[in-house]
Amino acid sequence: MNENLLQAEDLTKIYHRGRTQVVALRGVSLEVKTGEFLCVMGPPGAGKSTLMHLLGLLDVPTAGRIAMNGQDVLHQSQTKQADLRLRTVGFVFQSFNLLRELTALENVMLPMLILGHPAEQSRKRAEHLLEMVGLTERLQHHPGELSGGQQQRVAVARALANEPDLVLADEPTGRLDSKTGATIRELFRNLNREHHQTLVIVSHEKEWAGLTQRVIRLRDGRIVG
Amino acid sequence: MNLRTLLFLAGKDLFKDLQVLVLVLLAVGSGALAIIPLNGLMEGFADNMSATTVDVSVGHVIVSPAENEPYIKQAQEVKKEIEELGGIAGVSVRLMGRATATKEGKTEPLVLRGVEPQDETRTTTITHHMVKGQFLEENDRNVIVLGSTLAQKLNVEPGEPLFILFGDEVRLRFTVKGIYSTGLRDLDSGGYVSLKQLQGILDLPNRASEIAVRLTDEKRSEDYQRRIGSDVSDITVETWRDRVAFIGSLRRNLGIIQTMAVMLSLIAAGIATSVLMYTNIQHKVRSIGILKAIGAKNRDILILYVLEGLILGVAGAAIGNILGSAICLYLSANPIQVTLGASEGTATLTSVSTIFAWNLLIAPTISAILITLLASFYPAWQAARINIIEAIWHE
Repeated sequence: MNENLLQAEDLTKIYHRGRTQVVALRGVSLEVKTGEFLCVMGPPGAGKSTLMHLLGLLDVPTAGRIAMNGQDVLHQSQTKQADLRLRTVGFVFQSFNLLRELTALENVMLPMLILGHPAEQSRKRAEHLLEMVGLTERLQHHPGELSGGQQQRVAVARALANEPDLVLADEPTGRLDSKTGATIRELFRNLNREHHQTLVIVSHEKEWAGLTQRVIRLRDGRIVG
Repeated sequence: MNLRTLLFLAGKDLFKDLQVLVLVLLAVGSGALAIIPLNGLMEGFADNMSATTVDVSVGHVIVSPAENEPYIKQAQEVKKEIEELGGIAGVSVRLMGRATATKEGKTEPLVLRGVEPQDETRTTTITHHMVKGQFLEENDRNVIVLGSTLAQKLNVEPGEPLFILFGDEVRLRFTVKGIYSTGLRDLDSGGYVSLKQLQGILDLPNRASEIAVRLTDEKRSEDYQRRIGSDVSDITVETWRDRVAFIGSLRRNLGIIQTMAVMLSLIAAGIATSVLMYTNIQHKVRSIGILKAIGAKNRDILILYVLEGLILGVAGAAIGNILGSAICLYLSANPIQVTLGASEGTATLTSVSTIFAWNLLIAPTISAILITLLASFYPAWQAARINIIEAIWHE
């Protein structure tokens, strides 16, 4: 097993808004070890989400390097990067991003179906994952019929569907009330402690700091601590 | 992404908005819906024209003078030889003559057909098309049976007299015995008189312009064409197929117009489908972003939306085919009544049956599927290129 699951070096991201340049990240480097639970904290606008998008291969940095399991991933084709998103990385979004036309069960089955797993096998694992996040009674519910906390738990189950090496979560409790947020934090902690799932969370909420093994602080696109 | 997953997602996506789905299916299906009865009607019209021409005028085999000869010589002997072949339902010797008909200051040119009434009745169904009065009978002289178009132009009724001018010298008084209406323009603008009388007037004894032959088995037309051609010299022999070849040409010309109409209607359906699919995909930007974020490849998205286009094309074509075939079958059971070339007062209605055949479904089906595939490709290609971050933040 590779000790360093993820390595990011000198990541820079510049957005162009018309004639204006917005520098979201200024040479950020970090490493994530297998089994680690890392939290990236910082105020809004610090570049946390941008960093997550780059680490999750949802976006491309203006400069810098990202390696997963020792392999440079930024120079790989879009198809290969899509394959890495499917197999290696699970992503949990602040706004859940579930497909509205699919049930909770189907949303969780989807990454497995895309990977080519048989429907029955995918269904069993999706049921198991939804049971693990406490949604056994909500398998056939559509996202519109679920509360925010329930939707986020479906999103967590979906992120775990293909047994990814790494789960990235972008403000996973940002849209939830404090009580529901606490259950989601507990869920993530259990995933790391009991299932040794490597997790990287970005959040501005201090409650995460006590749960994770390491905290990186980001401000104005730079690591400050 | 495997086909099963693609079909699963396409099904979920298509049925998400039933209104849009119905709208696209109607747009696609309308092309096929219109084309099938139209094609069937044209086929029926052409077949009806062929059948009427054969039944009323041509018969199954038609004997004409040899090349460069104006008339068939020894017409009665030729007729006898044909009758001796057996399997003959009727043989009608005809002499055609141009003349002018006048009545109370009205003058109309016409082609007269000199026929033996009994022979003509055995060979054709002209007596079934009588709308007023009666057809010619044996030994009739100075009697004429007129086509409905000519009768209307001359404003003449059975029992009334009219004058026929042959050339500049011969002017004879005829009595109208009956009026027929076949729907065939040339025939309805002419008239029938006694063969012997016309031969006498034109001084063409035992001459004929043509000899029509009706067989007991029409399928043997080619066989009899060969046999008559080898037995009788100085003649030209054709089958009814040769004589109605002009209908084939008419059918081809109509086919060109028809194809253009089909293409225009399908292009309209294609544009409608394309716009609907484009709008549809604009509403699914976020879903596409989510699919890509969890690992769907650009190619998967492209195939997914092209597959949706294909499903819409197949389903739309199926709906259009079912409705179009139903209309076609209804019109087949309830033929449209048309008055081909006939005039008011003397008109007989001709029933044009719409023909339904499975091959009528091929062109609209293939076209509808191809058009929807093409219409869906560009929106699908755009969907595949959507930026993930922009898409998942899209509201």
